[in-house]
Amino acid sequence: MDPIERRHLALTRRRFFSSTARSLGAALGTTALASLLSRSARAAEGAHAGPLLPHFAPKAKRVIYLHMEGAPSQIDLFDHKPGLKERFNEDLPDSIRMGQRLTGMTSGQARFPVAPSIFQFTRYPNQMDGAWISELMPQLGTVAHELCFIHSMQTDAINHEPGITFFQTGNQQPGRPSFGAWASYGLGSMNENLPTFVVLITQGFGNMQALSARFWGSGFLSSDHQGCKLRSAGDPVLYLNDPPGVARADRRRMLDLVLELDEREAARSLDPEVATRIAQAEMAYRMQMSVPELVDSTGEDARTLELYGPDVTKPGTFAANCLLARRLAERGVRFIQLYMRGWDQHGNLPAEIRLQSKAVDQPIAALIKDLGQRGLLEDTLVMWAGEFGRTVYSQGTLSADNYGRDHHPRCFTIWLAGGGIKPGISYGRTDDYSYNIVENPVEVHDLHATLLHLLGLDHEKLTFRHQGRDFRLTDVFGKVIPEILG
Amino acid sequence: MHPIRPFARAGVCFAAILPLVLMAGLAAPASDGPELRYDRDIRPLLSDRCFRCHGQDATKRRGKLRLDDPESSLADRGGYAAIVPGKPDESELVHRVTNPDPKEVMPPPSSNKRTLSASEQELVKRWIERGAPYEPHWSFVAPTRPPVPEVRTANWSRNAIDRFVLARLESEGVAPSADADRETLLRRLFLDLTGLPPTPEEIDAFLADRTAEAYERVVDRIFSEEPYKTRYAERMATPWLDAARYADTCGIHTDAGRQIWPWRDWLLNAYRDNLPFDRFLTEQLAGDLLPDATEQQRIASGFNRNHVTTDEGGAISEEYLVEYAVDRAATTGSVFLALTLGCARCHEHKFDPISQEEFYSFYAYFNSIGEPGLYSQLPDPDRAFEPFMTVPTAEQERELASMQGDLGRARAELAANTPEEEAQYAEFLGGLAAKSGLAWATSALVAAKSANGATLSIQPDGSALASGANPDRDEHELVLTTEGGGLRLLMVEALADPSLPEGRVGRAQNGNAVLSGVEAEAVALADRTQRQIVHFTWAWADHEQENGDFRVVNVLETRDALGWAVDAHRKPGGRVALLLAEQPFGFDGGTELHVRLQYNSAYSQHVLGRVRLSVGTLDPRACDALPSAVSGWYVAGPFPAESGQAAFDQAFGPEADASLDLARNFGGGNQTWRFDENLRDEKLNDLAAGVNAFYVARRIFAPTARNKVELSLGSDDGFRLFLNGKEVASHRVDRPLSADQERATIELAAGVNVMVMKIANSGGPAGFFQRTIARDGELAGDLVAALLPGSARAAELDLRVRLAWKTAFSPGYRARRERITLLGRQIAEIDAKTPRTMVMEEMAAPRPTFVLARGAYDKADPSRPVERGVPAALGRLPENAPNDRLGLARWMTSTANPLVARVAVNRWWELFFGIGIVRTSEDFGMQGEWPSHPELLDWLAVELHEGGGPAGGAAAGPWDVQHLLRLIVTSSTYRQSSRQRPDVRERDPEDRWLSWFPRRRLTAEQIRDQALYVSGLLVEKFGGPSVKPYQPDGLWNEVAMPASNTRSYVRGEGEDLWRRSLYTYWKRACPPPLLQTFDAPTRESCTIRRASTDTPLQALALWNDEQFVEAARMLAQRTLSEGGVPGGDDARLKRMFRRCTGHEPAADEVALMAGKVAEFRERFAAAPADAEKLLKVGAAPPPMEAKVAPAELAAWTLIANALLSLDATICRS
Repeated sequence: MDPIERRHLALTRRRFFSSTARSLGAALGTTALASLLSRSARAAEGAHAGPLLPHFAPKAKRVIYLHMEGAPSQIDLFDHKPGLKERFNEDLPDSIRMGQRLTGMTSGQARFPVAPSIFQFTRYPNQMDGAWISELMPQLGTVAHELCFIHSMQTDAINHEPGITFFQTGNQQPGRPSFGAWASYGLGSMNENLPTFVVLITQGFGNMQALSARFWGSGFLSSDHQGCKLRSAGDPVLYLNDPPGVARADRRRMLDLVLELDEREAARSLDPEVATRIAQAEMAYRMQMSVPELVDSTGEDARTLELYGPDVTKPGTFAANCLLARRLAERGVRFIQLYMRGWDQHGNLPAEIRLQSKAVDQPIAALIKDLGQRGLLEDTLVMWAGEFGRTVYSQGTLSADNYGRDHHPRCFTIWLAGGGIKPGISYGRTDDYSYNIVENPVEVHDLHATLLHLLGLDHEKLTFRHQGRDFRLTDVFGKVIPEILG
Repeated sequence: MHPIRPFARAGVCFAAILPLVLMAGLAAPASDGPELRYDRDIRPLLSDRCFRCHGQDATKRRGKLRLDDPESSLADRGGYAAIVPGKPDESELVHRVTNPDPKEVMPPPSSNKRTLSASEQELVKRWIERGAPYEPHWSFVAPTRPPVPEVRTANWSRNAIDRFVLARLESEGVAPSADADRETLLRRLFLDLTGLPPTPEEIDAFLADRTAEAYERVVDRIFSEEPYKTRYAERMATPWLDAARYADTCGIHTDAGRQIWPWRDWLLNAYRDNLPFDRFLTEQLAGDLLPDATEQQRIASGFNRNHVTTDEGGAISEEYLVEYAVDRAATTGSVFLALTLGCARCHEHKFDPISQEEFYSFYAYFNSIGEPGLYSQLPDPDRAFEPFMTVPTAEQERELASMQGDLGRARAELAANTPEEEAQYAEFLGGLAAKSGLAWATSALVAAKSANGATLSIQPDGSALASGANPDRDEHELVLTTEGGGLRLLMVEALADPSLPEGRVGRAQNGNAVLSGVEAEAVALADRTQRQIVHFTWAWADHEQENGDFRVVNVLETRDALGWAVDAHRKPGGRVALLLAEQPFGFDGGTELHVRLQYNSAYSQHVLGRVRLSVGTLDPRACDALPSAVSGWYVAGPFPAESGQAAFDQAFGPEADASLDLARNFGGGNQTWRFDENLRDEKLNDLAAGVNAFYVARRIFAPTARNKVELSLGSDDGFRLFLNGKEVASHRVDRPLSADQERATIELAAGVNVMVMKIANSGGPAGFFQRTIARDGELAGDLVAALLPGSARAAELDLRVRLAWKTAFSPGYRARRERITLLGRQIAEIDAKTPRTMVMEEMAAPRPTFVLARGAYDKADPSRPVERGVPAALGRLPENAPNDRLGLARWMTSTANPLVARVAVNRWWELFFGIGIVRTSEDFGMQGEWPSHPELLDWLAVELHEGGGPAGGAAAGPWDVQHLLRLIVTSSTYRQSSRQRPDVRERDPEDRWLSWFPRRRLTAEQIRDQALYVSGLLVEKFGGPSVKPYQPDGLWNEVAMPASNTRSYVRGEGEDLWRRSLYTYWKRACPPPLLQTFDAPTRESCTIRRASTDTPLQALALWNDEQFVEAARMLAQRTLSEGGVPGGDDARLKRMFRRCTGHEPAADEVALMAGKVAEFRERFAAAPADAEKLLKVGAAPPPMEAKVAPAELAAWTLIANALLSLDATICRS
């Protein structure tokens, strides 16, 4: 640390506990400095109390949520249905379809021809009778023993916007806080130099849906809980870099002037909020150094870089973002969300899913291994999911080696790893067509309840009063699934 | 009957004053006071812990007990009752809430509700002890004017507000604070009412005016003089935009741009003109339904079109129609009534007296708008979603009217033929035969037979008529004899006949036919061993069916089932086709021509019923004048690629296909050529979006070899053009598709050619455009028909030929047509620029409305139909009011309405004091908070109703908004110092008693506007389309759909960068990042209260955002270049500081700043390159007259950067 930095850090500490801030400190009692830094004294308005501590001992301290935007095909990746080969181009039996609602994109189709996956599946050893994974994800197979597959995921939404909104916020319509915002609200920060909830986005190869700010928004929770996008181009965090011609020492001098004048203002007004803002400005100054250090992976050893694959050095790729996710996890960021765009394969699925899978397979496997070798996997919950699944029948023309698949909310596969999840198992089963769930259905609210549970939060107690009602991530639903807990 | 006065201090039932210790146990400071009140003290408790299971929701009710209803709670339940008035010990309620046994205690642990604390239990006991009196909920009873309280402190109160506030303070034993100093007060007032700080000149003028009414005069000026009036409107409109969820995009899926800013401008005008609140409400809710609604009133109804909409393919329209109506009902409820009506969508409201039926009754006012649930996707980001109206400016209206007139006249002129043209046309027709060696030979049909058993009979006109058997497929051989040879043309006339179905040309049931091939053989009459097989290589037809691969060129390939479909099932009348032979045919001395008409298409019995054939000559030069014939378009793709460049470079197979082989597979077997009827010439053709390549192809049939055929092309992101398997043109360029982007010249061999065009796309929608440019002298388009004998040209075809001739050859006509095209384009341009805005518009008949089970759109309960209506607990529509939104507005603006005025004044209070008199400004229901000053709230509400009463000061009309605001800002309460009082703060941490004025951080918009204003950058321009100021690059692209028309943010220029923040373009999926950093909502749903957070990201924005750095530079510039500031650095620092904070800095503060100026000066003098770099930030040019050294300006820029970040700058005291 350079001498100027050291001096000012000391100065800040002194300043923080000086008379202007004392009443604020007292009001917050034992609250950690970190949580003070991450939120305003006013932000608790409407809440029952300040930051909620875990309700019970957490298994996971942080979450890395890999969201596959567009909804990957479970049939071509994880939900192995070898029997379908013989049913190529047969009509989906009515006994399976059961008149369930279809999107406007296929509801007019005259036929619903069965399209078996053209991809080979391999059984990888796990703690049960093995995990079937298609040739699209060979690297993931090497960490199958760490993964808990849920083949019986289901959702209420049939289209992307409501589907992603539901997965992120527990409600299909806009307006509710996202999972990461709830985690920030419930658990606060573990790092005083970085945001609590960070979002990373990778552009895909296929049909891409919009990512709306609401997916990482704070809804009616105060806006300091919203996800902070870490960008691969320009400033990694908005407005992070000093303008051209301004050096670190200039910023320090300028900030010192601001703080000196603000202290006088604090003394004049006796307003404790001034001290809060002084603390935030100091944190901003520290972030200006901690974030560039964070996003600079040149210090990673060659073995690690090799693990994530050649794209790891290209900013914004999924590989680069996976490595960044590990670095964020290491630094105590509470909720890390990666988006991979472009899984919406209504037509030409085999070609497109190859590209998408190739981009994510190695980096994800690397992330699991890397977290594992650093001892982080045990308290980091990793989740991989799209917003729904895809139909067994072909959308558009079916040929021996080409097909498309429409949205399918009735069943799909997601997986979890680390953070107190039972490793190496599969949970739930679908029918021979991967069309209906035949065992252990898991609803989005159940998933949310389970994830919160692992974070040490009772989903029925994590509430926020808004418009006269105590809102929850799980609305009035959700149950923890004990079978997948480690 | 006594009117119910919920806030009257009568205290009939309980005179006793509760012990202080008890009051201290209550959560809310507002609940301490002298008496125990059911409404304030007991109901919130019961509501929070008990009503969920023992409230009005019958479906969730346990034990058939309602604690909100005395009839149920006092009822005998077989020897006991929940509540026995006066006897807490006998009341089951008390037993249950005090019981420590987890099996017995209420609320039960499983409910996750807190059990009652000791003090809360005590409260309940005391309430029962005093007879358990129930009261109606305060906000559901219309307000009456309470008496203004007497106070002991003299000389502090300026108006009635102060007496209410002071009475409360006196009861707490706290004195109010003294007035703030005058600089502070002026800055407070300016920021609160105009959103901008006062200038040093305005401060000086105010300080100089020592008269008694100086402050009031400033208030009056703000309301009545420009520029303050406009600034006031801009400031007041901003929170309303949050409430009305106003934005410039639709919010869902493509998040398409849309226009509704005329509604925002209506709002600004409403504030500027001080539109009375009852009209403000009525026009927004029902402006479209007002009798003789003006344009402005209809625009105002756009309030309820501001909600998000979807255009996601596959979304279900009915589902979203429900969502839109729910949003309108819920927003109207939140904004005007502060009720959480939306809670009753799925079930009975848990807390408030709103049943599910009543929710749908309210919803029924909003669900009959003529709108789609699923909106179409169009590339125009300036469209408005239907129903909408155009709002041309007066000038646009004038221009449009005049151009429409011109256009009408031009069209009339176009239709007329001048005598000159008549003569020229006659000359063309007459000379054509001679010029082209055209002669139709005399021929005779000598035989006709069907291969599959139909009867063909020769008719007097030389045609063959089919009858009898009607086989699915057939071949008709017609034999003609003719005198001479040297023939090139075969004319096929398909004639209608009354004997055919529907009197059409075909034998299929619907009268249609498909000719799949024509073969011919010529036999010399003189020597029948001399024979010629005739190859036809070119064809033309007067009419081709368009819904498939049905062009006439298909008859040239005789082996396949594709053919010429004549569309006869839709269009009656004859058809004619012309075929050109590759070589002259026929023999001197007479020819017998065998023509085989093949009917092998997939369509059974699609056989021409009556055909006449003719043959003719044409010389080679005339053959060259024939236009090429083309097939329709085939497409292969998409072929996904890793990048646009890869898509362009990589060969996927189709480029090498010189034969347009429909059986061939490409792309690893995934792709074939497929016909696409939607792809057309001279049209912007869409292909699927993505990073991919597409191929489009067609056959071109050239009558003669020809070089220099010119094509005009357009494509996304580059194309490669292949002819007969060879690349002939290419261009790699990232661009959106438009017409005529470039030209390509190709050479065609005589006969069939295959053209393949590859379109590479690097993302977003793909597409292509193509048209062939007619060669000089070519018989383009319908001119070919001029070759037909007059007898074979129906009147309609005659007209088409004439038109084609005029298009090709008449200069006068072409000029007139160009004029029409030009006028059309000009009108379209004005149209595109004409503002449009979304409005409410009722359907002719309202939709029948039913309760939706669990709120689901597809679960309408037919046994529960509902009529429009308002919740019974809130009264009913006035007599004679129509039962529509207008009636609803009348109900809301009636003085009998208990909520509307209270809600409105509370929100204004909140605007100035941070916290409303009712903290939960969005919820006045049972879960809402008890008012801190209930009588004051009612007094203000009645004041709004009546517009000035006995203590109201200046006379004003009813619903006068500014009257209310004036009362607030001229009160002593408002003028208090904001210095906090630590002693009082211990008892009243949130300052709900208002013993000091609450100091608050400015809103996002105020922070940015202030920085622009003090630096002299702010461009004050009223209204208009939203603008796009500085924003970090790429933010939209990261998250937008490639197909979105708001995919890329294109920063505005000039003035657009420096407008007030409320004019910033609002993309809901990615709202303005700076505003979001300072707590602006996403505008996806109604937001009544913004949070106010403090985060490090805010500090970073103030330091580093381009617009703040630019503002700092300009503030420095201004400070250094302003004349008349003697005294060097110190004087300048004082002036700069004062601009930002409204105050003179203290001496030690000046010294601090001066020290920094010196440091920065030295720093930049040593590194002039750094200074140059810093001064380049932002688009604002340095003023010409400023000749300040860069190092000096850079040093001051950093000082300005600091001052713009000061707490004293971003807060108002």
